[in-house]
Amino acid sequence: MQDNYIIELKNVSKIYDDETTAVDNFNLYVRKGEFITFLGPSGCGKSTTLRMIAGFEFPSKGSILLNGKDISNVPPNKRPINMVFQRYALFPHLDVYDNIAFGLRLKRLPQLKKDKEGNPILKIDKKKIRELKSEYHLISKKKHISEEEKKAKLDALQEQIDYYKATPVNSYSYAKLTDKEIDTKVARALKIVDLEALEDRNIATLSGGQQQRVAIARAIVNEPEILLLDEPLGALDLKMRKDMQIELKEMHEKLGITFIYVTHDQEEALTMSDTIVVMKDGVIQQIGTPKAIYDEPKNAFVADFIGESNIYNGTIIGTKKVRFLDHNFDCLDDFPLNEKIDVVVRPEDVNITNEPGMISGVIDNKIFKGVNYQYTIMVGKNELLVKSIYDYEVGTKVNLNITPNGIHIMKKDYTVNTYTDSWINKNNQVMIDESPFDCDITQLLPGSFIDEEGYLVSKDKAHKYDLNDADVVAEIALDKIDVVDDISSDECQVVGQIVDSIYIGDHYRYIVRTENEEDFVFTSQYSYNLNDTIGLKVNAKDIKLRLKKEVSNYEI
Amino acid sequence: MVKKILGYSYIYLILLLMYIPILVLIVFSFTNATYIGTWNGFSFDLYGKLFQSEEIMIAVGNTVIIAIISAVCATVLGTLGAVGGFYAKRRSRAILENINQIPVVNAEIVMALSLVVMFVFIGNNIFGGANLFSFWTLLVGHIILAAPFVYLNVKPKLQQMDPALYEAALDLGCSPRQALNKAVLPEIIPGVFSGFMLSITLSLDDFIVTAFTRGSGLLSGAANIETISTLVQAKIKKGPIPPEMRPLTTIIFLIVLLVVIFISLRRNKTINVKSMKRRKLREKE
Repeated sequence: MQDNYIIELKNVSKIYDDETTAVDNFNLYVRKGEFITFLGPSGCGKSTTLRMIAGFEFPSKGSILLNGKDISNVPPNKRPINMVFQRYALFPHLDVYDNIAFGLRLKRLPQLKKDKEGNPILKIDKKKIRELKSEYHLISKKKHISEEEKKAKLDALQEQIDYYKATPVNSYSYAKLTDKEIDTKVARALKIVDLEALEDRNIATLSGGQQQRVAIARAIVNEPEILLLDEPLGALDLKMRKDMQIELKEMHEKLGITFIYVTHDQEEALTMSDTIVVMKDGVIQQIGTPKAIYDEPKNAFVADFIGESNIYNGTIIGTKKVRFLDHNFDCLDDFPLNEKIDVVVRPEDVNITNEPGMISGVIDNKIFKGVNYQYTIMVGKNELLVKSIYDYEVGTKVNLNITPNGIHIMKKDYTVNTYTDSWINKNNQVMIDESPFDCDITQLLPGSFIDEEGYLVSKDKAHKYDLNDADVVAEIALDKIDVVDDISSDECQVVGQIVDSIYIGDHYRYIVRTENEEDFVFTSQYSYNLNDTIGLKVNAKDIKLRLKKEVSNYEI
Repeated sequence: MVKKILGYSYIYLILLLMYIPILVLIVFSFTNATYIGTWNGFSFDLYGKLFQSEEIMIAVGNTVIIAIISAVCATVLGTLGAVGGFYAKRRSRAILENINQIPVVNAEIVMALSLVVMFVFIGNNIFGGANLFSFWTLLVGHIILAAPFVYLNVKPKLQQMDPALYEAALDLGCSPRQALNKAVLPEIIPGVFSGFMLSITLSLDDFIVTAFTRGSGLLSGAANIETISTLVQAKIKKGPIPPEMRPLTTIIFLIVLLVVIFISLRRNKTINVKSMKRRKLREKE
């Protein structure tokens, strides 16, 4: 029995009418007073999850519990949860004061009706019956839950309906808050967000930051149990955003209520949260404290999404010994011998030294970042991102050290091939392992198309993007890679050696390693021998792309 | 400088050409000559005759009653349609918008004729051969005439609105209907109002639909309903435009002018009564 969870999401899925799955089997338990952040790239289902908690969407499967009570199908106006919207959604026809008082004016306090002797008056609760009936109707229309589950839920509801129909219960009259009470509460909320002087101002005359504060005040004045924030700082400039981050955090501590925050900005998530939920394609990738997620990412996606990182293919060559970048390193994680793994090295964990180091490389690129320099160092054929406060010239040969606690090893994720250092070339092909692959770059911007000059044009034709040299993350599913037998044919896009093969029930899983040490994992019905050199090809539509920066960076 | 003067004189010329006919009409409403152009000296005779003419007064009464009732109905219908369309799925919205567009671009005569055919058909097949033409058929005609224009007036206001407002209102405790009244309606009310005014105008000066769909009723009693436009048409058939029409149109013009002035004055008024109330509330403490 876990009673201290304020909100629980159990096996929650959201499947839209067109059969697209926005959220898949989401499980989350939130403690009272926690600051929790949903983090992920756009379209990962984080906003949909938030909207389900708010009540704007109902889950297709699973249930949402608030203080142990199922609220999955309760409409938003009946939930003690308030939301701060992405673009604030303030009411322009009301001034600051009336915007904040909006929720309070709707509030009705139930008062027990009593007869002259002081005994409660009992009545059939028609309103409750109506609510239950509409919930019954809603559940009976759900498509994605099993028949037994549906029947069990409907029977339970029917039982309740019958109970309320037969049994008179206490009846209530509803009283509005007085003007005085509303005024006190609004004044307090204005004080919390520092807007006392602006209460009579029109919404349109406020700056973005001030509107943001009004939106927060409007939500917290209702004293919700949970405050939802949907990318609330997205529309502010950088300086303002930093200030608001700190203020939100302080507000969270002062109010003591649960905050659920949605963002795609990893820095924001790391700064503010107690717990971060990293999501991708509707699936939770990792739940943990900011430190755990940064230091111990569960897979390559999390490592790449949170902070800057170098990710390499490695092999375990002994007890707590790992080989990558053509060198044997000591590490702290224990994995079975000869296992292929992903290695993450954070740029700040690499030390540039003048003495002989573990590995050496040539500085290829240097960017001044204010507090330090960011170098791209070529170690053999691999790039290594390093941060250092010392100044080196481009082209210098440097020695590098990586300490064991700077090396984090992750079990290889064999569900999909992820290439985190791909880029788009001038022919709108994606470069994976120095080989061009045809791909569909219009997927980077929904509804977009490519014009005759090769630029990406947005759906409304208002924006044009030049994606040449854009850094992307490419993903290819294991079953979408085909083998080309004749490695000299034009069809063949990449050539490599089979370095690993394993038989899984009814098919083989191979790992093909190219000359540049890039791995392609694929499944096949046919058997090939270890160390065979084979060619591979991938259909353009099977390569999934994600830009590393916002698409607006490439606008021309 | 010369360019500027030329530009202004062009605008004033156009305005002058637009308003000269109305000014002439107003001037000639203050003389009792039958024909415009002859001046028999200043008099209020025509104004007196206008208010004594039962025929014209009945037509004016009919016109106003129909205009107000049909405008209210068309405004409700058009506004609900626009809000519904705005929150509908893309496909159903496209269908709704196309259906709405047809009456707007279609010739009025087509609509009037098709309404006649429909009323006759319904009368013959459902009401057993009864003659349906009455105030009600006229009202239906006018509502159908105006509702698409209300839709078109409300739609841009909805598009300017943040679509999350409705959800924000729900989130703060509104039931769906309250959210519509308290969050969405205040945003679109200028569009609703201009749609209402347009409906009144369309109904006031409509001739074709009125002539086709009217029957007996209203102030005309057992006879066919006469509105200002049908009355003028009937009079012209027999002789010159009745001189009483000149003061009538003058009065209509002045009423419209007053309404327009009143609206633009209201818009510029920005005294915040609410904030004064609040201050009083706090001073009481």
